[in-house]
Amino acid sequence: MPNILEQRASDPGNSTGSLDLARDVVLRGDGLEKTYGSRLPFTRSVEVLTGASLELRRGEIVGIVGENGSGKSTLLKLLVGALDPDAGEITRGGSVGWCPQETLLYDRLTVRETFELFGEAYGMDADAVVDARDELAERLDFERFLDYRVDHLSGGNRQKVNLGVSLLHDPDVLLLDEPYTGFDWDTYQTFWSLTEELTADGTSIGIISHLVNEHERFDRLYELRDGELELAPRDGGETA
Amino acid sequence: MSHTATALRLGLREYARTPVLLALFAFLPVYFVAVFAGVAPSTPVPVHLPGGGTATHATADAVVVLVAPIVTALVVGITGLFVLRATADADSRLVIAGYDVRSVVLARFGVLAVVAIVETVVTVAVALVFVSPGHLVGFALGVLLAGATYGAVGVAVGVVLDRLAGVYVMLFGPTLDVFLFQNPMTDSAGELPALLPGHYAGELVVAAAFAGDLPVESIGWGLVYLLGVGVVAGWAFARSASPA
Repeated sequence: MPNILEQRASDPGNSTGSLDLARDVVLRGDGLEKTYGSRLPFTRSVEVLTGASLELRRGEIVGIVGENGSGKSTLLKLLVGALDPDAGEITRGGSVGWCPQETLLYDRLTVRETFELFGEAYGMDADAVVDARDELAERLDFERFLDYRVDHLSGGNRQKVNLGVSLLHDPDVLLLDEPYTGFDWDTYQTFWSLTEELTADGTSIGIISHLVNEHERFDRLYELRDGELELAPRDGGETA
Repeated sequence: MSHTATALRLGLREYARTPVLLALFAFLPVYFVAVFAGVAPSTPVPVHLPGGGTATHATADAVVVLVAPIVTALVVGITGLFVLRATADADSRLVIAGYDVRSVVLARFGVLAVVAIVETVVTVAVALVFVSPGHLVGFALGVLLAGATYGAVGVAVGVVLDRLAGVYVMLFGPTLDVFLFQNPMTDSAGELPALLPGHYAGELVVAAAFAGDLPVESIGWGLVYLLGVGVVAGWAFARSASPA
């Protein structure tokens, strides 16, 4: 079964591409196409991606913007392996952390139990899980909620846990879908300072958002339009 | 194996923290069995035994014997549906994170197995207040078989239907199956009853309760049926938790 840790070369549409990846490209999507079909009569299929291509290099932070319904979340799901592309190739050069827009956590487990479960999924031993969890909890300020059930958390705190789960195994590539939804100002600042540290350590980060205000935080910005990705102009019209 | 054990342990904790399912678990057997035992008349009625022959018993006794597998099927079936619906998205994320999908499926079926066993104990204990089955182990096995089979059906239903539609199916399905099509107080209605999930469990509880038998053939075919439904449900579950 393909998964974030193992699927680097296992899917027909995916390849390790160690030659490229050795030269700093840690994630590449090339000509990605995805259509949501329906077998029901009187319904139509929806063509979401028609040839989207992008690459993430080691230690850079890339933004992907697009209007509502443009296919940003679908693109991210393809990149992490939650969906298979209809066509195109995805090359992953390291472990991937995925922070989905909807938190996709077990509502009736506590935060502590959630980290235990996902830590095991990532192949970490118990001590490493505890160390990483406690560091993330302190950093993102959810220490006091470790014994709360996920469904008893506020939206912002749930999003912090969501982010924490995606960071638990110190991934090489971090893909975030609307990651700061619900964050207060302090957490928003902490988030950006954390991303700066991660990129300084070589982690590549892709952030999907319907709205990007601070263009200067990104090395490159893509805009998803009509199923394809284009480099978006920075403030002042210069292409990123 | 460690993955399965962890997911099973935490899955049971999740179940224990779901008040609606816990309420169903404790309340439904007491309510259903006691109410049917109270309202059904004690008028003697001929009961058709599996394999031929009839025996005459009080209507209330026959009804209680039939209600026991229905209650277990309802509770475990709805649990199967809810477990699938409540955890499907998080299960997908867990699989993408590195969990073997087979471990996730095994853990969810493990939760259902525990629920089926405990629910059987509760239901049989309540039924014993009103009836004395000739073969208690056979009766309990029939109740367990009904619960396990409909638990797997609930998982499969959860893959294709949303929660509301699924609850309707899991409420009406076992009730119509066992109470209408497997009812030993009526003549057999052709070939259809033998194809339904409650058939072998129905045969087992009736034979055990009223003839004191342990029909090995019914147990064997019932287990084959359970295995078939379980494989289909497991495949559907695994497919829903895997990348699309």
